[in-house]
Amino acid sequence: MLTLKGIDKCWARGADSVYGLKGIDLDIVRGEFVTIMGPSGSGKSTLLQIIGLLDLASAGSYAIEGRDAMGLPDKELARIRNRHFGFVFQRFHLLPDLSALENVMLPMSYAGIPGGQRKARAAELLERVGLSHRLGHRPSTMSGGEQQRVAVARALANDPGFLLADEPTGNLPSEKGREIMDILKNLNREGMTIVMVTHDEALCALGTRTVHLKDGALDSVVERGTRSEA
Amino acid sequence: MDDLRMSLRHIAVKRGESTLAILGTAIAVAVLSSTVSLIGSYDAAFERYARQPQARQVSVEGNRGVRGEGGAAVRLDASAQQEISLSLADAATALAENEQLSVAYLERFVRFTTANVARFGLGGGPGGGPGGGAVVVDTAAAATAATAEAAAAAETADVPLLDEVQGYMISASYFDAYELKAARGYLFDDRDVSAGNAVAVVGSALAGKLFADGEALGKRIRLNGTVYSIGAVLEPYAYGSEGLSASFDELVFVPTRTATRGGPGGGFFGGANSLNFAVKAGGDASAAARGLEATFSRLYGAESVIVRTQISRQKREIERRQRILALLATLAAAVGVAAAVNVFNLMTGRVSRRARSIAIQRSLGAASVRVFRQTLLESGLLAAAGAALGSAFSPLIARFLGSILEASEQNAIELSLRWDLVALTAALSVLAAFLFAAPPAANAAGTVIVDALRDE
Repeated sequence: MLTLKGIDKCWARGADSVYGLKGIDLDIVRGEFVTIMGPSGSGKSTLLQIIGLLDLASAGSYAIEGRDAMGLPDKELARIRNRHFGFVFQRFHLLPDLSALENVMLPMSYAGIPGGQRKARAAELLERVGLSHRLGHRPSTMSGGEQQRVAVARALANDPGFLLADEPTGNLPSEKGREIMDILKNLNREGMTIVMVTHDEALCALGTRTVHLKDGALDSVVERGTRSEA
Repeated sequence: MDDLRMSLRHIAVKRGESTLAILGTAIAVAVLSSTVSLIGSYDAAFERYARQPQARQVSVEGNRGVRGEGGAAVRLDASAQQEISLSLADAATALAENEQLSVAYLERFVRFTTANVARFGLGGGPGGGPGGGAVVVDTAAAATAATAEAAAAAETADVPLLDEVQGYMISASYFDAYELKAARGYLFDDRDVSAGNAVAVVGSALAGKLFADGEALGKRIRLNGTVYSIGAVLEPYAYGSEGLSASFDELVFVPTRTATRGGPGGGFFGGANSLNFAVKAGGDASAAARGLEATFSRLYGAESVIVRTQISRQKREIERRQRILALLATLAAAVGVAAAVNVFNLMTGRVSRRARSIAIQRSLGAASVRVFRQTLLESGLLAAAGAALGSAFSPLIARFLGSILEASEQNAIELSLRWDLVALTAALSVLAAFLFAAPPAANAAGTVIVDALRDE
């Protein structure tokens, strides 16, 4: 369970403050597939970054599994990111110097999982996303769709509670985008909580709930029923 | 992926700039470690020297620029200089007044020819290397020597394999002063010296190569026209040859003729412009030198003699070499600082170019302290590789520098690489790399994830 209350995010611009998010209240329960929509500059990605503790809110409260995460030291925040969240970015963000297998192994090394186990699990995850034949390939030798599948496998490495995706199909041709969405749908079906930022109405329909943002504030929430209810 | 493997991967990916950083460190470490090692080696050589008999020798020479007139010494101009002849009898006085001293002796370094040429007189041969000096012989003694030389030319000698040998004309106490012992035969004593007996002692190495059968004991050898019977072969010298004109094992020793013969009770008459004294083992050479200066000043007048300790001469020699090395070490240290600055620039550039990768790592769970550590590790690996490479080359550079420093020196100092100092230099270079890489590592650790991941 993830609980955000009264979340503000603002930046100083000279003497003024510019708000990216204002008073966001949001609960995300296990098994949900939450999509976040809104026009450009509405704060979608900022909200996702705060949910994933990539950035910290300027005000408000944040709790994960009942534990307040505001004010935690860097090391503890890193540990929460590592154990509770998997990230899939629009631009894949794989490490260019590492192979597909090594990219997937990376979060596990931060979790302290022994090398042998890391390798076996990474190979299994890459096989699961259909890339068992590309284990040793570097990102630069792979297509966008393949890179995003590696990113999904990496996001699942530590079996996180939440998978956070920021426009995961935004940089892919539609067919490859559909493949990624199929993977995400299946993961959600298996119980994975997914929070996805998108501007594609069609993809929103796949979620159990859609949060609409406008000018950094919650505009509306469309409920379609949680997966557990489905 | 472990930090070590990740760092190695980063080094391998940017092979060119990594190689340059490694080479820069290697050059600095190689030169710095070899020079520091040689400086340390000279210190060790001096400590070794200080424990040897040659460090306990003190010489007293007449001051050529001064004519002693009792207590009123008058400094003369160069044209009016005169040599001061020290009476050999005063050696006994000096020994009696200075309890730090063990023996007094005469020495003169000579290059001997083994050819049958009578013109090479013993007292005035062509030799006279360092440690020697002009010998004052009275006219009667010279005449006696000339007669002896004429007789010696007619004598028969065994045929040696060497045309020339080096050695010393000495009084017998020389053997005690340098702790030289006979392996076979008997060393000549002061009775042989005062009687003018033509007996010789040869060093252990020279004994083996002087004659075709490898046996020197009992042979007769012509040295500067005089035929000597070889009465003893020395044991190999138990100490090093630092501070000596040549290794004792390669030399021949014959009785001095500076002292006139026939002194009562084996005592000597005559004079020399230098006398030598050995300080007792464990004695203080400087204190002994001060004592000798007081004795001879009283006997000959103030500033009439110059007293030199071998150990101070050796110290000056070593310090002269160390000053050259210190200058070189300073230059190498400057190169080392440049190499460390290069590591700083390299890591700053890498951290800047790798900001997105660092942000990705942090988003995946790498704490900032881990990013800091990984960046330091990368620079540490570069420096360690450079230090290892530099250390591997330091023996070559040390040998090269040592050969330059010692090539023109007559008493070459034995040098050995001080691996402890090489290791220390290498460790310091890695430490310097860590220090210089700390600021870029801190920048890496402080990477703001969302800023670095933001799409352009």
